Amino acid sequence: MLVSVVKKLVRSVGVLLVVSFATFVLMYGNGPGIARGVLGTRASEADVRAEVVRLGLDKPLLVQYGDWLKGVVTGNLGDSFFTGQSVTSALSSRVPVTLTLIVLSLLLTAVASVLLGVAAAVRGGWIDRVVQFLSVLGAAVPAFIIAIGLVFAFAVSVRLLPATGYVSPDQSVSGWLKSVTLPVIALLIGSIANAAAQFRGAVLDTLSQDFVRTLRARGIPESRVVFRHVLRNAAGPGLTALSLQTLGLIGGAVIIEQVFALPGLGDLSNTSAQKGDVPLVMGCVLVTIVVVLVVNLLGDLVTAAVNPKARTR
Amino acid sequence: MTTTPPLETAVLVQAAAKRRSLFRRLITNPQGAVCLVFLLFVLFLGLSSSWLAPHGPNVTDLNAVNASPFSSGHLLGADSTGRDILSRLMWGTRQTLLACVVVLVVSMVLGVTSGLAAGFYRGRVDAVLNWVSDVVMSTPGVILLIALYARTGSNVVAAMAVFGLIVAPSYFRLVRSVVIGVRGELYVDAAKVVGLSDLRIVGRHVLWAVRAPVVIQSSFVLAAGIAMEAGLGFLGLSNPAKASWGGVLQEAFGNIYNNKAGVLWPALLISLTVLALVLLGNALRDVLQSSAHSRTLSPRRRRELTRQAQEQRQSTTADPAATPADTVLSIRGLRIGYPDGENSVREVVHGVDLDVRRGEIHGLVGESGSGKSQIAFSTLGILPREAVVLGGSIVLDGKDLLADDQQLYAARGRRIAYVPQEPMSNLDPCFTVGAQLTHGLRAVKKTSKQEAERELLRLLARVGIKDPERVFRQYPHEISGGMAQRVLICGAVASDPDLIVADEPTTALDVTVQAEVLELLRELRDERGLAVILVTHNLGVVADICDTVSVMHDGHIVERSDVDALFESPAEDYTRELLSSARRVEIAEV
Amino acid sequence: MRRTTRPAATAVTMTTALAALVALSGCTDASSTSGNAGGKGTLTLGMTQDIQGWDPVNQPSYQGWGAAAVYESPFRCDALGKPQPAAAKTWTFKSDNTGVTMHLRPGMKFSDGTPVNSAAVKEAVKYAATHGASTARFVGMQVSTPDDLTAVISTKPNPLLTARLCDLKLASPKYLASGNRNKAPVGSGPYTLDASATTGGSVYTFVKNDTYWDAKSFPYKKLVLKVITSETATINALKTGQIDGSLITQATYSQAKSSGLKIQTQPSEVARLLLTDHLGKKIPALGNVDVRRAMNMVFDKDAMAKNLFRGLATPTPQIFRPGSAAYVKDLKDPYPYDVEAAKALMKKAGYANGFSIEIPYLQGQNLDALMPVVEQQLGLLNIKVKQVTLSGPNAISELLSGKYPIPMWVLGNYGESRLDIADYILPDGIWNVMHQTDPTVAGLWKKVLTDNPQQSAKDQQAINRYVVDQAWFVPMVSTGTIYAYNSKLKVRKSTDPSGLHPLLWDFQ
Repeated sequence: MLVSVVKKLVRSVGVLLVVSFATFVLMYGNGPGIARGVLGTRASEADVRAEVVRLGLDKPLLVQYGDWLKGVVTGNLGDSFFTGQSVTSALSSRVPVTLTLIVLSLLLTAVASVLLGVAAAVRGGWIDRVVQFLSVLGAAVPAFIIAIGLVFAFAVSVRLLPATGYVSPDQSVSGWLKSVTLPVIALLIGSIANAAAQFRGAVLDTLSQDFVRTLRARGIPESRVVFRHVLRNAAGPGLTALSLQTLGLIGGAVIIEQVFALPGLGDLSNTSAQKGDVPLVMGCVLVTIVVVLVVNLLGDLVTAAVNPKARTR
Repeated sequence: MTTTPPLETAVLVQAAAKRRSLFRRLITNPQGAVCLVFLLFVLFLGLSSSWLAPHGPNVTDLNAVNASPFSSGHLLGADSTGRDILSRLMWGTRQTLLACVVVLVVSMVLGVTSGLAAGFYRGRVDAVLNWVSDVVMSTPGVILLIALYARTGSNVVAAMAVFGLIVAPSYFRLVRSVVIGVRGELYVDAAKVVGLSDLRIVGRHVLWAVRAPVVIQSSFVLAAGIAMEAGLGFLGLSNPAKASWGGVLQEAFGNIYNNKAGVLWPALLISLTVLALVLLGNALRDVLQSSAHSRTLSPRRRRELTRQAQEQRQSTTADPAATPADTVLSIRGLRIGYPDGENSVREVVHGVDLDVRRGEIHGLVGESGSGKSQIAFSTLGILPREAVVLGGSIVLDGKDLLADDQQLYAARGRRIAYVPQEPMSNLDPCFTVGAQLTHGLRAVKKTSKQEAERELLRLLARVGIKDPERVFRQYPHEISGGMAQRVLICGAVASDPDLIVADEPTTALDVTVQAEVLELLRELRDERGLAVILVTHNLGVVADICDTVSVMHDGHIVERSDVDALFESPAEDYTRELLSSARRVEIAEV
Repeated sequence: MRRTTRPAATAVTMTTALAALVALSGCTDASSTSGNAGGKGTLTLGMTQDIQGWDPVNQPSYQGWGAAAVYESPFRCDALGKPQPAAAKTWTFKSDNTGVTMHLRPGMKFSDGTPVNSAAVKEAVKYAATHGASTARFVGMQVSTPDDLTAVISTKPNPLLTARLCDLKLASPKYLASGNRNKAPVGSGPYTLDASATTGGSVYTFVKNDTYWDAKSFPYKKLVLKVITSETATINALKTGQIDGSLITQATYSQAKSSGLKIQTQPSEVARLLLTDHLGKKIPALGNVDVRRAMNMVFDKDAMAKNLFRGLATPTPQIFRPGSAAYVKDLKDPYPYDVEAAKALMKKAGYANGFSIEIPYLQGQNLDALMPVVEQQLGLLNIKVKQVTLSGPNAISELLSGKYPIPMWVLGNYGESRLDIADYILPDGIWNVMHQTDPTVAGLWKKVLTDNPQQSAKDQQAINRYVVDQAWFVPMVSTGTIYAYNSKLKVRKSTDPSGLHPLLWDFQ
């Protein structure tokens, strides 16, 4: 089991390196352009050249990337080109906001999709049809449009929940919960729609397997067959589907932060990209990839814990 | 696999026969038709905007600022600069169409070609491409596109091309798995033998097999592309000088207090288009990969049939004289059917009678598809979901199991036990052998965990497992086929049943292990006075262990007699045929 | 289900693991003091754009509450631009606008402990003359320091000296030399930045400096600035009390009013095109005054004021603020809305077929509503407008670089109209992007340099009439900033000489 964990870890690191390098090349490829961006068009050629050297943009890309990696390992992601604030500190206050959205959505999605997927697969009939219908609807309507609808309803009509803004948990837990409720709902709808459909598929697949029939033949009551045996077996593909949701959730969170004016990663990357503050953008990309990889890894680990066959892979 | 109902082959044949054009089939599917019409309408809007739109995309009318919907000249109202929303949406459709085309082309070209290459050539090509696909699938798309904006500014083509790259793995995986499946098909080998070039094979044959999944996936890819493009526009990353759906939405959202209705139109347009594409994809899937959907029996019809069967049971009284003494199980007039459409059912077991006495090993012989496994499953109530019991009774201890579900459940696992055919796939891979056995035992017997474990360990030793303690703690994938079968037998016998229904218990085993398992069954029968229904197509097994034999053909029992009598002087022609062909095969094998 | 299935249990483990991750990644670091605004002791204000670093020469006056909190200047200027005591307790100006002697308050210290003395003033001037975008304003200023608390500033005749000194932010010389200027401020203002409760781009927290000499003018113990770029979010935050006040636009004005918020407006901006190429160097057509006049005549200013600006604007033919010295009362608009007449003028000038221009556009500057109208109306004269979107940090520099001879902006005007002339009309004005000279203007300005107030007003109005006659601008409407705030708050009428919004010390 340890071997497979290490293998997965190595694989994740590989992915991280490739994607971060590709993004690095994309962002840092134009040294003089970046320098001019920092200094402004009024700057003379000489100033720009000096700035390129000062920012270390004259070194070969691979070397720059290597330096950046070294920094990453020691926790130093560089400084913002414009405010001089360290990227790490800028990220450290934004990441919890986005993570809150993603983690809460993932957890609630897991619970809801298991319940819905099992109900639809086992019971069939009208529950199945309703779940399928809702899953299409939820998966089709983009999350940010749902979000806009929610803002509309709660800002313009019902004053139950704050339509915008973020309250951090160490400020007031109830305020925090209230401020993330609408964004999480917007994200949840699409996420549950997808995950429930996938989980339903996984459960149906498992139900059609021979050993389920044999377990029934042993006299084990149906409910126990489903909740003890089928769920465990369906957990693997179910968790895979769930970790695939993470990417979608991140994408959704970025746009939803804009709608609800939440000071998270998405908002930071958006404003930094529009300003051309390259270190900040790189930092955001890095964190996002790490989150995706961590979630995938966790999913794999849980699958291995639950399904012994997966441990040897 | 004798458990496959005869229906499936028929379904495949039927699907192949119905080669109506794809388009025709899509049109007749109501969901598909509606979506197609809507999407064509949207397409039309975009293409015709230059001559049909009431106004230009940036034409302002200061007197129409924040006009509400249905005001004159502005069907959907106007925005905060007095620009007509309907016109802007129509013109913006062009941007959407451009985005769609770019995404589709890029993702299809990249995804399909790499999938074809990976699936066809396998080996290192496959490994590399798989790895690349994994990497691409781990990249967070939106963030990357935002980063791209920092480099290129607002550029729809560049952004959608990058998004196409990100989405390409979905095609890659799909195509690759289909190609791998197809590659093993005989016709590909034949083509190679004939000397067709790889390109020709791939282009002609493999691509043809892949077209359906690719078309279906395209629908979803387009949906994702439109949603992404609208999202980017909403973030403000699209060109403000050109109208776009996302841009109109962003403007309307910022202006929401002054013009509440303004948000509605772009939101609706985006949502409905994406929804139409998703539903179209589902409809395509239904049409192109005609599943057993159309073969599901309507719930009403099913209830009707079950009711009829029940009424019939109540009206017929069992004839005690017809049942020999010492009978454990008595089947009378059993009829089983499978759905053939929404309202019709095809009968596969036509009124079978069967008796099994205490200590009798009763063989149920026949070709695959004769219905023998159906009978076995019906005694335990583990027929597949689609099956319908059309009539008959299964009497255990004077009670008809088919008439009363409670009795059926009570008997299952406790009085009647099941030994399946394929040992490895009949054990839950997620639990240890011991855990599964314990679950099964404690489900039918009130006993403590330790007591159950002790008993099971004893039994495991009895069924011939050398190191019961160790096997107890092992997972199914860690033991051999023969051991697994013994475990399954142990599980069946643990609850001390009166009847064992064994469905081809030795077919999947090695010859040496077969003999051992058969010997085990005989011993258990001797020790415990078990009755056994042994379903098999192997006459050798019948000769070895059975006391009585029923020969099944096409859902009927054509002959029943003692095993010796059957082999020496078969009464029916069919039995004779069966016996002679078996011998022929044996001779051939020698 | 009584049985805790494994997946559920592992889901719980996952929760705790990820929750730990969340906690570890600095929940304690995160933004604080959000939520309960308007409470005793904390003033929470919204900002529609972020603070771009703490360098003292880079602090804008627009939404400059952060800078006002941490930095102090020698003087504070009142609404009319007259100096009030700040770092300087007393002073004497030379009557010919060539200098001032100021006496600093004793005992003031910067937040790093170094004293606020005349050497610090000297350093500040030297720094401002060599760093930042407005060096031109401080070059040539000589500072002598006869003693620790006396600074003597001398310069060439400069009627804007007061304004410049009100703008000059004093920072610790050690800090100025350190090179870390953008990270955190070291000033001597009424508040200090609380870095632990600050998240760049999102929330800035300031804690009152109780030893500040004018502590009683700043009743709030804590100041929080929240960056909210979306106007919808801003109005929601105001309505729910998450912030106490913020600038809003005409778009949400009626919402604010109907929610019971108090409003303060300053008539301080004119939306206009700046036709800076009046010599026709880059765009020959613009060298012809008829063309420029024609461009003035295609805009229906009344409709724009009523509809585009929702009645919160008035049509105007001049760029100066009503009540300022250069403002000509009851000036009749020489260019009424008349498209046909405009076309005739274009024909007369020989440009019936028009020409092409590029107009730069920046997001978030209230240009969204204007741009399509401008494009359309100029298009009626066959003037093809190409919108060029500028973004990023150098957008403003590009805008002002002269690459685009016709910027369009909603520009502020000052109570001190000489500042307007300096910025928009003089050859070295930052908004006169082509920096072209004009003898009439030069002659009049020379006189303004040393004029007494009445004569100055006359000469300034002469400049005003000249640029209107020569159609150097296409002014459309005079509008203003709208500041909405919590009705429980006491806000004095703004003392901002730029007339933008209430200043920090106006919040009582």
